Amino acid sequence: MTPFGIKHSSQDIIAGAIFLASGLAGVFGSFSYPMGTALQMGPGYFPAVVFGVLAALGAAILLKGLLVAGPGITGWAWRPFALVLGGLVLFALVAQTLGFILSCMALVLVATAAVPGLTLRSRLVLALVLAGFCWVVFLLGLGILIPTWPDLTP
Amino acid sequence: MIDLFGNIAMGLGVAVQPMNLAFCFIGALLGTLIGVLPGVGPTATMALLLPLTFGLPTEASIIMLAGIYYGAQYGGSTTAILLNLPGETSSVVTTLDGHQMAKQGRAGAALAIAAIGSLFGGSVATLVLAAFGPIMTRAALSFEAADYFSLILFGLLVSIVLAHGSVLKSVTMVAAGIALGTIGVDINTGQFRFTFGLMQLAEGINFVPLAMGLFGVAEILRNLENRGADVGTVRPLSSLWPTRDDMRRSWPAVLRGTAVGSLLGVLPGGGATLASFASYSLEKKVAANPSRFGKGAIEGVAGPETANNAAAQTSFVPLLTLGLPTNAVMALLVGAFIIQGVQPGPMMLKQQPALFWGLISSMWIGNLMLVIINLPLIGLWVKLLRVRYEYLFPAVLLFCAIGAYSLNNSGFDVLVMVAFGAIGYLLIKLGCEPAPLLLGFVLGPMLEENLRRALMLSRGSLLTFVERPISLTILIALAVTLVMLALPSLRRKRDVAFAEEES
Repeated sequence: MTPFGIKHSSQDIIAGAIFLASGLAGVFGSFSYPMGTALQMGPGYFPAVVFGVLAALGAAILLKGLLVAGPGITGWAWRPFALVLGGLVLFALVAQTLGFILSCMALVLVATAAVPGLTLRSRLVLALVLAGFCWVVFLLGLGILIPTWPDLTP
Repeated sequence: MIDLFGNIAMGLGVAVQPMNLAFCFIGALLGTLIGVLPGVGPTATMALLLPLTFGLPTEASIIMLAGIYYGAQYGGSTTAILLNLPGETSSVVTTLDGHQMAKQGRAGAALAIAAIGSLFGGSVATLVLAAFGPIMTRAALSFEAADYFSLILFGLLVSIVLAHGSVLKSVTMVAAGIALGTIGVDINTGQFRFTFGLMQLAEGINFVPLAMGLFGVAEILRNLENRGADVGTVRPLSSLWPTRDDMRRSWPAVLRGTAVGSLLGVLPGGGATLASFASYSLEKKVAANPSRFGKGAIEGVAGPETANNAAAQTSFVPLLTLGLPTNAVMALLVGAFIIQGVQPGPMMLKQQPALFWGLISSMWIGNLMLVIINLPLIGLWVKLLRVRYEYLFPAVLLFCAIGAYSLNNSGFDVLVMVAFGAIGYLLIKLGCEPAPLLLGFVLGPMLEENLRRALMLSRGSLLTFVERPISLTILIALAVTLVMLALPSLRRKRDVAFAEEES
């Protein structure tokens, strides 16, 4: 039934493994900085302790996950995940070159593709309305420094 | 006492001058507005407005900037309740029960209680500031690094009580938060830690994109996952007003929140955030049925909302009496004072009594204005809820993107937000609460700084933490809390056992 033949929780196993791994990596990284002593702590001292605690706690969660039954991981929504985060990355990359209006519209168009029921027409209208509203609030109102349109002069 | 009333009367005389009244209104309105807009914080807005205060009289400019600060505390809770987006760290806990209430169609009651609690807490704390300012300052003056260390540790523990998942995972999240907080330049030696050659990480990960990613973006992803069932959107309201039962439950929470907030606001470092966290766990502790919390308990809104507003007022104590800014906003106020040629600190009370008492009185007037501005506007915020989630989430996403971008006018902070959005979604999937991580991240650097200073003062002896009476008292309180913490955890384990038997 389960890979280990006993009760377990895949949620705790994965969480524990992630925290254990990042804790160990952090401890390893901390030792590349001067340690110092308790009296005169170097930059590596405190992070080494904190990451060490993190690794120990991760190990405890991992162990608990292997021994105690608990919830597993439920479905990961790849489509919204990729489209929403992708839209944000796109915005970050093109804001300065494409200008405020086009970047905002690009973000809205990409992100709304995650919703199955929306027509292209309504997505375009939504993108236009939101970009206009944000232009009034953030550029006119708060004076944010992003050009409105792309700079077309060669 | 006569002195106090004389001083307040003089302050009111300054605060009700038409010009000051007008700027108090502008500050409170602007503060609420930017608090409502996710991703635009009071720090950014105050920084943008700072150059504009050159031309204003001293009182008017300081009164306006202060208004933005406490107005934003208030506005931040509006989005926390309606959209599950905490505008400020101090409104993180409001999302827990406030947003649940909104999902149950009781957003109106939650918003009204937040308004009433804020007014009450703010008014009482202003009086506390006026009356006990000098006394509390003496107490705060005797705090040393060891005491701060113990206090911050205590604050972190509170956040574990707050999380409703497993205690083990919550402790881990605090540790992960502190670990993230070590990224950036080491303050004592100038060594770059974990920056991976990225100059943008020199000053550490920015709090704003981290919080927006963990709470805003991750929540959007979670909501988009189960379309069909209308999660995220909120049922239409039946009533804007709290019921009699709501009021009966709320008023003791408001009183406790006022006390907790006034007390913790004075302490540097803690302020509004620590106050709201502490108030929430206090409400959970004194409640007859703690399992209601996290599922729309009105005390979970009333207490923290009162406490963060009270603390926002009393956090002016260290600034006005010691010249010590306790957070980024207070640091900006120091800048505003200096633009006006006033040095905040012990001499201000003597040299600029009109400014000192005028500011304090304006806070009371400003809190009254907040209620007057916001109670009619609740209808407007509520209209936001009728909007379908398909139309709402791109707007929230856009606010977050623009807000993150505008911090340093670069795409880097947007990418940081994307990273923490992904991490936040993963944490939701792994059954880990992000709130303790956020608190660990904010308090971590202070914890390290005070630990290093305390051990330097004690020549490396750990005994300093139990030798100092203030620190010892806090540590004993911490130990008592740990014991109390063990009890509900036992109860939870039993619940799990029962659940397994039933299935």
